[in-house]
Amino acid sequence: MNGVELPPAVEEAEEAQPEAAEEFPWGTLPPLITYQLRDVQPAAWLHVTPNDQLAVQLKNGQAGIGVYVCLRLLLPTGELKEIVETYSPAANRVSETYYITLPESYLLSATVVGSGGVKVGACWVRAILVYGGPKWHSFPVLLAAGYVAELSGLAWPYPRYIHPCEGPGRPRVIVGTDPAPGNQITETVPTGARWRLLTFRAQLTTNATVVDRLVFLGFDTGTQVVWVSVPVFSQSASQTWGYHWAAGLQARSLAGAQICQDALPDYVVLPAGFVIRTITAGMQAGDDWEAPNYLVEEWSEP
Amino acid sequence: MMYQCGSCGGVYQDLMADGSLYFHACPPLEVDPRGRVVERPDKRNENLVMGEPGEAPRMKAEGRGRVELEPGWQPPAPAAEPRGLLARAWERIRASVTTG
Repeated sequence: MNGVELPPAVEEAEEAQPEAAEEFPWGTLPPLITYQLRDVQPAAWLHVTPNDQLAVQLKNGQAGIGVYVCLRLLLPTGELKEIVETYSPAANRVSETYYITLPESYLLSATVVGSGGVKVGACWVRAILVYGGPKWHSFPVLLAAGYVAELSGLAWPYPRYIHPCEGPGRPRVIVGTDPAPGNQITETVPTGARWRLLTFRAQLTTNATVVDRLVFLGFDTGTQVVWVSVPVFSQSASQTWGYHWAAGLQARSLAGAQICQDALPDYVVLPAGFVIRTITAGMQAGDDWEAPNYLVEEWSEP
Repeated sequence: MMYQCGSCGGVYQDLMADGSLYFHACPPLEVDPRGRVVERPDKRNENLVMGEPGEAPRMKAEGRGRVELEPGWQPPAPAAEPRGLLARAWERIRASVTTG
C-alpha cells in the first residue's frame, strides 16, 4: 500500500477478509449536537432599551480610592462592546450616584471592583438598571450590591446582594481629638457610619487641686443618655492614669502602673450621630485628657 | 493635617492612617452622669448633614473655624503650678502609702 511494505501477518489478514472490511467501514460517530450559525438567539436575557441607564450608587469612607465599572454588551449588529468607567468617590460616606448611558443591547456581564488599596468594608456600591435617567422612576433590575475591595467586588450575572450592615464590619483604629485642658473627650459617630465600639483608651492628668475625680464613660444621642459606666476608682490630684474600656473586662485598677480598666457593654451598635464621651466628676480647669485611641467595627449606614 | 479648633482648642487630625476622614465635634461646657449636657454656644461640629437632593452635604456647625497647625507641632508644656506647704506634705503622705 502506497509503496509501504506491510508485515506478512497483516497482509494475510487483509487478504483473508475483504468482505468484512466493506460491511464495517471504519469511522467516528457523527455528533448529536449541532450549532446554529445564522439567526442566533442572544446569550443573555437582559435586554437594555434606549431609555435605560446603569446607575452606580456609592457610599465611600476611604480617601484616595478608585472604583471601576466594566460592562460587556452585545449590540444588535452582533458586535461585542465593552464600557469601562472609573470613579473617585469622596470619603465622606455621602451617597453618590453616577449614570452610564447604554446603547440598545443585551447586557452580557457587569463587574465593579475597587482600585489598589481599597479596604474591605470601606466602599459600598449598588448597581441598578434604571428607566428614565437621573429622574428615574423605576429600577427594574438590581444587578448587584455590596462592598468592593482591591481584589474583590461585585459581578453580574451570579450576583450577591449584601446589605451595608450585613456581615462583619471594617475594623478601624481612630485617634480622637486631644481636648484642651478642662474639657471632656467627645467623639461622634460620623454621618453615614455605624459603629460598634470594641476598645477605648484615654489618659487623664490631674492638676494639683485636691479634689477626687470620678471618670465615667457614656454613650448618648446628644440629648438622651443610653449607657454610662460606673467609675472604678477616684483619681486624686497631680496624677496621670490610663483608663481602658473593653467588653468582658473586670473592673480593676493597678496603682503601680496607674492603669485602670472597666467593661463596655458586650455588643452595642451606635448609629450615626451618637456620642461617646467621658464624664469626669470633679474635673478642674487644669485637668487634661489626652487624645483617645479606640477601636471600632464600622459599617456603612443604610 | 493637624488642626486646632477655634471654638474649643482641641487638636485633631482630619485623616486617619487607614484613609478615613475624621470629623471633629467640640465637647460640651458641662456634662454630668445623669445626662445633663450644656453645649458651648460656638460649638463646631464637622459632621455632615444632607441637603436637598442634588445639593452638596454641609457641615453641621462651623463654629469659630479651625487653624491648620505646622507639621511637628507639639502642645505647649503645662505651666508649673505653685505648690504650697500643705500640697507638698500631702504628696509625701500619699507617696509613703503607695510604696508601703
